[in-house]
Parts: sequence; structure tokens; C-alpha cells
Amino acid sequence: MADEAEIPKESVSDERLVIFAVNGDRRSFEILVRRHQEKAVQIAYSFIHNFHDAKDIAQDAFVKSFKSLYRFQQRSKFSTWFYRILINQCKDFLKRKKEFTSSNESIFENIASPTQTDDAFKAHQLKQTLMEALNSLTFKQKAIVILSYFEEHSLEEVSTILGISIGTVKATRFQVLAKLKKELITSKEKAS
Amino acid sequence: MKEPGEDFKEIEDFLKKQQIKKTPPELLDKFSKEVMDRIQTEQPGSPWGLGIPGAVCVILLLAVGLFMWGSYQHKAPEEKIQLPKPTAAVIPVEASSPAVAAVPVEVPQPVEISQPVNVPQDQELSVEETIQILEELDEEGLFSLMEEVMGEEFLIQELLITVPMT
Repeated sequence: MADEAEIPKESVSDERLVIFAVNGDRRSFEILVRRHQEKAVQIAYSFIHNFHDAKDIAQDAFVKSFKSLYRFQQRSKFSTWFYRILINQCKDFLKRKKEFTSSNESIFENIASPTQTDDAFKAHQLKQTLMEALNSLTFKQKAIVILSYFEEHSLEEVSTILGISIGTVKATRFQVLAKLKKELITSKEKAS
Repeated sequence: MKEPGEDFKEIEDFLKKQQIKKTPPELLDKFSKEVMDRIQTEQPGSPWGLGIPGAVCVILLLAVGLFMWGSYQHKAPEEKIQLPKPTAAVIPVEASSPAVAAVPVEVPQPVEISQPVNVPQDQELSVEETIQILEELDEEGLFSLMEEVMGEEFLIQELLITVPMT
């Protein structure tokens, strides 16, 4: 393990850090946490709509992934494997919290104030419509939109993260896009 | 002509432009430290899924098991659990089954061992002594003795030669 100490860990790949962590190097796991913490909270937030709960869920996911690091077979990227754990944590949280109702408060950045220009107001309305449409989706449909478009994961990655076939991802994405398009067109027409 | 999926290009572009709100920096300040604190007592896990506490439990269980086995071995035979001896199972054979019926079954007959009457086993008699005993026997006794010794051809021949059959 002498060579391990010589490598500046910050530049080491996730997969190598996992190997070090499995061999008992906690510092490597801490680097993995720091690398992915922001994204993890953001993804959890896009499902939960609350930053504090999202933070707790992301931490739970990191703890869970640490406990089962030996199961990581390096067949996918560490982040893909970790997001699967994270999304399952989000799903469990929403199941436990049955009274939870998705708020229509936008999870997106740069929401223009209605007092701004017409274009900004239209953009605001579109985003509001998008939020409402997203809230009407099932967990799986929402996860596909979040991972495919907001997080820009590939089809293969989305299929691995959600544990479904690529065909199912494609088909579900098609249905969701049709639904969102319909909602957004209606909203646009109303605004114009 | 439109490409498949082209219908959704506009909506896909719109979705890709959306950015989820940034996580407030104060939430991430101690994030990694809190995670590391929580896993302080944890191990990265092993294929056995035991960890140190699990391994300690297994070792304790093995030690207790070994002790119990050892103390059982030192028990007197009468204190040990006596298992009932296995009894011969009776397998019903259906005569209607040709495969079974074709197999000849040999039933051993009980063998009776009888001691010869009036003939001591552990001492040999001389011919003279035998003749003397035979002379003392009446006809019925003689035939009784001959019946007892049937099969012993030598003796019968001796008797036929030496005993005058009058």
C-alpha cells in the first residue's frame, strides 16, 4: 500500500477510490463523498422538493453505499451504481411519507418574477406548467425525465440506475414527452 | 419527412435547458464530515456481510458449540442419548409384479443342532468299550442309537462289521 500514499487521491478515478475504500482506506471514500455530494443532494431534491430532507437522503445513500461497497462490481461507473442506491432511497422516503404531496414550487433555477418582461413571464409560466406536469408523473416516469434531461445521463445509464431495460426507458420517455409536450403547448397557447 | 423523435426535439431541448436549483452551500459545509462520522463504526462490508460484530458472534457461537460437544464426549455411555436400534424394514412384495416374482427368494430354514444321546462328546471310546456298551443295549436301544448316529457312515460300518447281527 506504499504506492497508494504517493498518489494524490483527488486525481484518482472513482473506481480506484472504491478499491482503496474497500481495503479500509476511509480517506478515499471521503473523496468520493465530496465529489458526488452536490449532485446527490440535487437529484434527491428534484424528487423530494425539500433540501433538508434531500440532504438526509443523500447522506443515507452514502452510508448505505459504503456498507455495500464490496458489491460494486465495477461493471458500471461508481456514480451510476451510487445513483441507483440514491433513487431507491428517495422512493423509500416517498413511500414512508405517504402524506407527502408534491408541491408545485419549482425545482428549477432562474424563475423569473411575474413582474419582469413578457418573455420572462412566459418562461415562468412554462416552467410552472412543466412542474405541474412533472408532479402528475409516476415515480419511474419522473426519474427518467430527471436523469435523462436534467442530469443528462445516457439511455444505458438511466436503464442501469433504474434497473429497467433500455427498451422500457425509451418507451416510457416517449410517453412522458408526449404528455409534457401536450401540456406545454396548451400552456403556450393560453399565454399567447 | 420527419425523423423519428423529431416531434419531441423542441420539448427535449426545453427540458435540457432547465437547471435544478443549486444546493445551498451551507448544507454541503459539513456534509462529508457527517457522512464519515456516521460510518465511523462501520466497515466497508465483506462478502459475508458480517463485519466485526458479526465475526465476533460467529466465533463465540463456535466456541460454545465446541465446549458443548467436548462435554458430551466426556459423558459416561449410560448418560449419552441412546438411539433406538434400527429394525429391519418389511418391504411388501407384490406377487403381481412380474419383475419381482421372477426373482427367486431363498428363505433360510432354521437349523436344529441336536446332541447325540448317551455319547459323551469330549472322550473317545475304544472299539472294545463301544462293543461292551452295545452288548449291554437291548434291540430297541441299539436301533435308537443307530438312528442317532445315522450319517456317520464310518461308525455304522464299524458296527456292522463288529456287531454280530443275530
